[in-house]
Amino acid sequence: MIRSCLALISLSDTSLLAQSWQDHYVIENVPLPVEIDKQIGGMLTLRDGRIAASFYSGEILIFDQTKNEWSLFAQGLQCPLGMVEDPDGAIVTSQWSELTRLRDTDGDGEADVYETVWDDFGISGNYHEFNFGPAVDHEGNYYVALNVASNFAGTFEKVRGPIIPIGLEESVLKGWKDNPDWPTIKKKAGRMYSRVPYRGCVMKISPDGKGTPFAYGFRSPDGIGFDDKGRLWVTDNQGDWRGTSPLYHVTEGNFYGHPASLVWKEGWTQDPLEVPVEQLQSMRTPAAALFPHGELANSPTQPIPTIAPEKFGLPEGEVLIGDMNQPILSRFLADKVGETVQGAFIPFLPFSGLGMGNHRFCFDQSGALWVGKTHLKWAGDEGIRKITWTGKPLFFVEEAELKQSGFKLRLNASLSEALPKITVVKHTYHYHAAYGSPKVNEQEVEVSEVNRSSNGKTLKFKLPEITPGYLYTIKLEGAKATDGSPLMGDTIYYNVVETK
Amino acid sequence: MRLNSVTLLALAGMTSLLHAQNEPQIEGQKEYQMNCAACHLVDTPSMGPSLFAIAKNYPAENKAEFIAWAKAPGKKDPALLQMPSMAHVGDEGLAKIHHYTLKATQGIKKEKKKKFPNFKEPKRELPYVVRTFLPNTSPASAAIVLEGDISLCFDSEACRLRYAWTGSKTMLRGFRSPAALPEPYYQETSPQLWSFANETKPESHGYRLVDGVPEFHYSFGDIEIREKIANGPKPGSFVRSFTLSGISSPVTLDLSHIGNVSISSNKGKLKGDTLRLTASEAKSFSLTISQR
Ligand code: HEC
Repeated sequence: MIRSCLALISLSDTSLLAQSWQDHYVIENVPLPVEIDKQIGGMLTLRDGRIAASFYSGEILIFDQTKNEWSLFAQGLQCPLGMVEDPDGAIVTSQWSELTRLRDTDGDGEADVYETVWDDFGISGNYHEFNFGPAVDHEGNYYVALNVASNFAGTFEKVRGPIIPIGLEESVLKGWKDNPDWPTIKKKAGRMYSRVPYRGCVMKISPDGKGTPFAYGFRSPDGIGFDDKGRLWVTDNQGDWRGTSPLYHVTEGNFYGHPASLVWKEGWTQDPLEVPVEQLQSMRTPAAALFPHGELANSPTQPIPTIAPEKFGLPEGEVLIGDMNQPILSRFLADKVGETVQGAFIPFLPFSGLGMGNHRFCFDQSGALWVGKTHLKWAGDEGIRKITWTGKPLFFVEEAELKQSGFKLRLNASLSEALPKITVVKHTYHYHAAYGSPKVNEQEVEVSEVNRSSNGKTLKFKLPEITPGYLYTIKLEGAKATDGSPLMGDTIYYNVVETK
Repeated sequence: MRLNSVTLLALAGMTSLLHAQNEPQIEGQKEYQMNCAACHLVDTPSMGPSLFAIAKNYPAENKAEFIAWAKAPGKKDPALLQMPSMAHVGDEGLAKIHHYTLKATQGIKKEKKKKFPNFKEPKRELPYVVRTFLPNTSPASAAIVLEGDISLCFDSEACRLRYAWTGSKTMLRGFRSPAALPEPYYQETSPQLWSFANETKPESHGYRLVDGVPEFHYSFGDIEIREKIANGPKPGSFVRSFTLSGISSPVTLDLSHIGNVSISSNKGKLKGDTLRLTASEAKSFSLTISQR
């Protein structure tokens, strides 16, 4: 019934690679009502199994799969960019001006209470001040990531502030539209700036609405979510102070590299633009993983933990992440070195017909992955896709472990005795105020002592040395299982923060 | 009519929008996908012009100009954003992208329509509350669109009604600048509406819909206020119904305003723009504001 209503995606791409992803996953379009701007800000599977989608245009719709029907739950929200469900069934969403709890108290299926949970933060009116989230922890605390402002614009005349007096004068910021010199003056604001409370912070908000800065140093943290081990993950976008887009393991009190939000640290008085890079470098917590720009991602989106392997075909406990520009999802495989969680990305469903603009995700109760798309008239797409595992097992790397002098990869099936061609290239990025960074010190690393375990499920190899602060790109060209199945995702991007 | 479940049932497929992005095959395709595809699609205008349009202006003999532009882009179409410099791609990479631009657009006869045309908003059932950017108010404000061409601005930061205008529309969204509105026909000018407001900071608790009518909830310390906003009895009028708790002494409202309106209260004494209420009257009263 449902199937018949979902339009199957027809693919023009007949390349082998795309075909093989299609053997494992079916990607369908989920039709949406005509009268809605089909750009998705949030996806959520409700406890009763229905799917909620929030739209940039301000609506929340709920899809009942048993009836194959969308219905309106809420409207008039300003840019709701995420949702969670409270234990009592209320939906909590972050909009431009507040964290809001939506309740349907009369049971007609539509929210009638739009309760302000938290609004104790600034809005300068700058168009880039998105609020992402919330994510929710086991104690019911909400986590919201506040985007900083862009110097392509100043602020409104009326702000919800106050504007902190560190940096470009308030009157200049406010008068930017009538100022012919703005294109040069704006540089003094910083490429991305934070002048009203907590911009650039991840905030922790108690269930009764008390908010405190939880972590600092973010730029455009479009993705925020917990994994099944209770670790908080936040993605950010390449730009100033972001050589390439990172994934951060976020813990309390830490600084994640973009200096604008340092002004919200208690006792901080310095202009973030004047702090020496070495000082910032020593303060910052490095990314757990990096998306090489233009290859894996340009603007990464929501992290979502994977579910039981019998439902979606991937190991449980990984984190999947989308991107606006690249038609690829990334699997994140965590590796713990001492206390540091770092790890590897492996492309998932690249060039599979999924397309780009993959912004928000939820797994429904049957195990299908729902993908909400967006574009904001930039790179991207619109609508909702549903990815269902066909049940056909796929051959993949399930663990990437850094060793003292090389890597150990664990596979979910036996690797053929005809070993793949292994190439390893390492590079790093600049940490600087400039926008993005080229690959720095890119060099091929010699691979030696390749060792396939007797059951074929692990592959080890040695490298002459392992350099912290480098991203290692490991290619396993032509890797096949003993039954001939190709390795799905044969490039591993391992970010070495700590060595063993 | 509201964006309701009837319209929601009318499902539209959109398969035609889907297209698989190919594994890079043509020389320069990889570089293009990495650096330019975000803003330049092959046959469809998006952030920037399509490769099809670019290929026309930069044929094979204009490769050098193509590279020069990409390294130091100028400004041609004022409706488009400024293209960032692509100098980091390097001459060789840009030359490859130029090659790809010409190759990928061979055989294309006509450009497709812009991929994401402006969204046309549906008609909505009123009243409709929408949080959005409005002029002369906190960026944390909401518009309330009533029947009969009346809209109001509620400031969620100051927790007060700011103004009312006619020329109702529901397409008030956007985050680049406040909505452009006609002159308000009613605008409050008092520094504070409530006599008790000077002592404590207001706190907004949001709103609820009572039979579809919005009721804002806010507090000043221990004083809780619910304010329902609805159409009034006459065309061009609206009613604000207040319910207060935590009141133990008389309350004064300063209703100073600009605009040609008449104000009436169902309780207390209204003299000029000052309304005096006893503590018991203040528990529940309503104001009617009518356009003259
Ligand atoms: C962030 C968006 C963006 C990216 C990325 C981008 N461009 Fe552009 N590009 C634009 C916009 C916007 C225009 C239109 C500028 C105008 O008309 O003022 C443009 C225009 C152009 C033009 C046409 C100039 C003319 O004479 O009309 C060329 C050529 C071009 N881009 C090449 C490139 C190449 C090559 C890349 C990748 C290396 C690239 N662009 C990446 C946004 C972008």
